[in-house]
Amino acid sequence: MEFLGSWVIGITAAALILSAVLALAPEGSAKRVVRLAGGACVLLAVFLPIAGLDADDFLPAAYAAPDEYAETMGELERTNYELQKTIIEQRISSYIQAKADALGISAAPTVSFGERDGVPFPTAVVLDCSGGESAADELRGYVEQELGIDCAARTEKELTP
Amino acid sequence: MDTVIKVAAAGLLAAVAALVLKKDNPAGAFLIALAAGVVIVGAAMGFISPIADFLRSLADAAGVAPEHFSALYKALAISIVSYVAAESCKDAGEKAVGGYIELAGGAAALYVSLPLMSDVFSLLRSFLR
Amino acid sequence: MNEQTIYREQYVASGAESIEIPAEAYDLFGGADINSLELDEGFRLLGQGIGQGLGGYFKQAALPAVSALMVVLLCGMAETMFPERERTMKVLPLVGTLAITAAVCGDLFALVGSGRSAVETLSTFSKSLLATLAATGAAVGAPGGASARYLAAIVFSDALITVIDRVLIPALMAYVLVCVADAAIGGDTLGGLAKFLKTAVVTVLTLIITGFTIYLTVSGIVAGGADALTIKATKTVISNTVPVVGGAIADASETVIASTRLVKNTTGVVGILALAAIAVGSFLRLGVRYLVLKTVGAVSPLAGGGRLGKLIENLAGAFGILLGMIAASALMALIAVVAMISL
Repeated sequence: MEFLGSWVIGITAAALILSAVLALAPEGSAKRVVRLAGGACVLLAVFLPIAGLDADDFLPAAYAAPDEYAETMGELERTNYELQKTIIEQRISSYIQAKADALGISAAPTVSFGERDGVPFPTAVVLDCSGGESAADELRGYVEQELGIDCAARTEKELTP
Repeated sequence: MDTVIKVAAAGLLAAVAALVLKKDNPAGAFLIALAAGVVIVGAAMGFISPIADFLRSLADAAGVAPEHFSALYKALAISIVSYVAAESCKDAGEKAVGGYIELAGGAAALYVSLPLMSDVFSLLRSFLR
Repeated sequence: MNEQTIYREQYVASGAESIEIPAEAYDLFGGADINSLELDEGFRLLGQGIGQGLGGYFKQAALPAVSALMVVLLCGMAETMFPERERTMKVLPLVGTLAITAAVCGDLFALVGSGRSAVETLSTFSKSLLATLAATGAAVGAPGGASARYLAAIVFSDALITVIDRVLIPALMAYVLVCVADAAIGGDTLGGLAKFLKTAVVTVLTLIITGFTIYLTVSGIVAGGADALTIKATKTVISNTVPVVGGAIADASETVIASTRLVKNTTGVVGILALAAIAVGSFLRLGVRYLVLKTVGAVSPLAGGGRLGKLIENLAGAFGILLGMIAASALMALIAVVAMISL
């Protein structure tokens, strides 16, 4: 806001100088040049302050993003992150389930996540399998190879005390 | 107030003197007129000092570098000088010479304003970078 | 996890649920729920509501206008009946001026109050609307642009309200005073001043809107450049992963972003409709008064009141100035919302 004030004052001052000088200049071809030079000075007074601005001058640091926006944006980001995790987990689970079905066992995968470049990334899978250790092992190896994720398989035998 | 009265008085005196001399000594009349012109304009410049101070304070407020405004004042000075000379010549019957002086004055004022113009131009260009 | 659940969660998280639509917005929609309207349907209903309410607006505008016309007629009659009574003749224009001022200005000042509150309602509503739009805009991959536009809108909106409060409304009052004084004194001494005040207000409003639009565009372009980089990051992660996982990540990302965009667009539509409704109500109130008074002012010379007619026309202009102020703030809000939706 002070910028606007001083800018307007500057332009007014330049205009005043121009009028004063024009009032003094006597008629003749030189007066036209004086008018031209004065106009150039006014142009400078108009544009020099603008050239000296940074983006910072427009949005002073004190005017940081109002709380409402920062809060809302943070919440939306978190929600979206969680939603992405859920969807990824679903996709991976259904893929593993399909393979498990092909092997003739049932598996309940639990996916744990890390983060890569701000994107939720599956880092490990734990399979709760029932129906044969060798099949479970094959499934585990399959997951590790095809999905590139560390996988641990737990069979019924391990779960039941 | 005083100065204006003195200037008016001096001007009138010079005009009367030039009129008296014109028939017999036109050159002398011309010189008196010219001298009167110089003196009167010089007296007017006495007002200049406070005006110049005021203009300087305005220029500070405008935030424009003093060099730009000095180009403007130089152009003003050139216009005044060429005006006095050209009018005197026209008075002496040499309209053509007066015209040439005016032309030269315009060209000189333009020359003095050149740095100002180029500054404006480069400033506007910098906006388009 | 189906799409509706995703949408619902984002709707809440982005604050779209907590945007309070002001009561005035509902008036013109004939009871329909704004939240569920499509844009063209909304405008259709709005048009219907306007048509129905128009009669009411005219009735409201009629009272001060008719009173003013009566004053003109009475003064005209007095002039014709008592031309010789010099002293009366001198006082008559003054009395007429005061009577018309009393008839019209009470209405004007009441509308200034409601206009001021309309501007403030527009500002508050658009701020909360823009917060949601900005958050969703940032979430679909343009955080820099959204942030820049949001800040621009907030700063300029506050500036506009401050200017309206501190400069424009006092200027409007000054304009009314000058017009009344001009009519009371006679001659056209103050006419130039009145015209200057009017032009000054219009110029200031135009400058603010233009400045806002330019700033919005420039800052959007500058900030938008940085945004292109964020999207690349996700793509890099996807392409560096095993196909299945990569596919899952891409799928998740797309679903979430598409849903966010839906929230953004829906909120935007509701916002535009609500803004239009709030603004239109005020427009019509003021616009109808302006038209009616201008007509009365134009007709007055026929009834014998040239000077009084001019006063009435000038007072109509005051309504026009007020209309301009509300139009400016509505336009600014609309520009900001559209800029945000188009992210």
